[in-house]
Amino acid sequence: MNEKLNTDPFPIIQSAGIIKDKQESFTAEFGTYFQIFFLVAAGWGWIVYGKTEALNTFSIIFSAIILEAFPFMLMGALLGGFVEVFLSREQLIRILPKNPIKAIIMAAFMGVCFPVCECAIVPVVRKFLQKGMPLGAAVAFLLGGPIVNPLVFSSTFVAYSFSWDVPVMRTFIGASIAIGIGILINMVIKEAQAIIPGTGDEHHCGHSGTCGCGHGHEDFSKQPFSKKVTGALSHAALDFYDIGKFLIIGAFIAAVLQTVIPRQAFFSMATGAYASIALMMVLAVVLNLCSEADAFIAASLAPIGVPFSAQMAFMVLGPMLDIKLIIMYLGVFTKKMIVTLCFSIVVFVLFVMVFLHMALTMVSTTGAGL
Amino acid sequence: MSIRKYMPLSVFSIWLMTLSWLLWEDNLQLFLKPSFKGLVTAAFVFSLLLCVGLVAHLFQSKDTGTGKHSWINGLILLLPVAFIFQAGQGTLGEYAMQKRSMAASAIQKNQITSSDENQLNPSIEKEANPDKDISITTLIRKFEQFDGKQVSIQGLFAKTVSGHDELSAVFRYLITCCAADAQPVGVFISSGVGKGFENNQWVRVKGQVELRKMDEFDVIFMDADTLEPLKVPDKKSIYLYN
Repeated sequence: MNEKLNTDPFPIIQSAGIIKDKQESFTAEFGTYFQIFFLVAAGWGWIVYGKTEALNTFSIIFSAIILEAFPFMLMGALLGGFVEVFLSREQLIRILPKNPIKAIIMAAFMGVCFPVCECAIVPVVRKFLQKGMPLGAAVAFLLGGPIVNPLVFSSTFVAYSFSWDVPVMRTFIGASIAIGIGILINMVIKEAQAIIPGTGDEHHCGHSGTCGCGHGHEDFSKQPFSKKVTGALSHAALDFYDIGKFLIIGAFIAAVLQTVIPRQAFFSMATGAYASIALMMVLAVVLNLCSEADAFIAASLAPIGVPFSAQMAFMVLGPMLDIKLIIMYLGVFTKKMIVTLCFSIVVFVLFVMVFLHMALTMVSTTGAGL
Repeated sequence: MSIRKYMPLSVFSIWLMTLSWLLWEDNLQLFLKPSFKGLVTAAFVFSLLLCVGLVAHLFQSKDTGTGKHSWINGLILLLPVAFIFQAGQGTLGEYAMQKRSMAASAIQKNQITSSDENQLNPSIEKEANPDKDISITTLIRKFEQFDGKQVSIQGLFAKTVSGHDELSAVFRYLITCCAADAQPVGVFISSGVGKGFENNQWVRVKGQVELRKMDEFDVIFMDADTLEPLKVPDKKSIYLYN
């Protein structure tokens, strides 16, 4: 059941994900040990902190983050399952423009008609990558999708007292950064170095090893519709079973930080515009808020003197990079790719927000600032 | 057949039961705003669909569907279930208030978008003195009307405020989406008024309110005349939803 290989201009990278050298098997073993350590630590924390208010607070925050993200993750896994079964590599390639830059720009705005938040988008991107979506376009979709989607636009619109400026600015800044990083990643990293290797011996399909999802794949193209549907559902379930742990580990770490670190500690450090931008970026990573909720938090900080550029940094960075997302990226990308991606996101957002602050300061001197 | 093959189905089945408990026992509001019920219902339906897919997979495929460390995945996926049931026994209280600070409470009126907060949480308003008590969100949203006047509000009591031993607080939590973004809202009072009261005790406080500066932030301070204990209402009353 070999798949058709004529997929120019996006050739299937046969070597992607099947490199299993010593370093990678060490990484896989380390991942397993880390997960066992995580489980032991969680159990230990439960026993030691017993019925304290701190543990109760942690439990509520952890559960809330999971419950809010869970439907979106499941929806993402389901979308991924249907993409796996119903969308062929050739169809995906036909949809995307052949020019890589145009493909990246289109992917950055795909969230407009693919309204998924950052939790749901990771499994979808994983599936798109397996289907041959170019890395740069996948990154642009991953970063831009949770910002340009209509639900996020409307929540930002409401949070900022029905002002059009803020959601429009958020959408275009987010999409521009996604496009910039997509182009950068396209230039500096090869797909073979970016996508995690599969567990080769557990695959039974033509593209063995390329997907890294830990379960087998069948060729559904000649199956009846009902079997395609159950195939999509089982794929979605097994994908979620494989990748869901990253959401849980990320949410756990975020909840620990939210429980232990006082928020005042953050705000007392914001002594100037640039420090505020940096601080709000840290806060976005630590708080792990859903992109549909973060605008309300950002807007509530305006009256205590957090500059608009810092609020925007919070709203743009959060959907692209937070603790649970970094952990979830581990299910898709190699460590090298994650480091490059995180670094690029931080640098791009920081530079854009500093520029935005300077531009707004200049505009405000003429009396037209936000 | 190996146990490994049944792990994913077992995990999703346990999640289905947990979501049922949240939906049908009405425990969802301890974590999410009530309007998110549709979202959790969707999660229930999605989980059910995935279970159907897994049952079909069990019958149609010899593949176990999971890797050799599948039991680790299963345990991690079940971890939140344990915490959800643990968390279902309580609410956020004084501990979380100390970590989140009420400093922004006076200026959150832009964040409070609900038109009638009494409808959002009727239990607290019905309990006693409906003519005199106002909800904390009303106080914040229409503070200009109450500035310098006598008001009466209900909430949880905190004996001290982080970094300000001379102050106590009466507060509730305002939830925008979920408990992770819950922001304490309420009034600060002089700590002398609350002698004999315990943290997380439900109280009614009456007094004159005004805005004051605290750590460079505007806060609502109440010059409290009386502080009285209240019967503990439904535990969800601690939350106000935006």
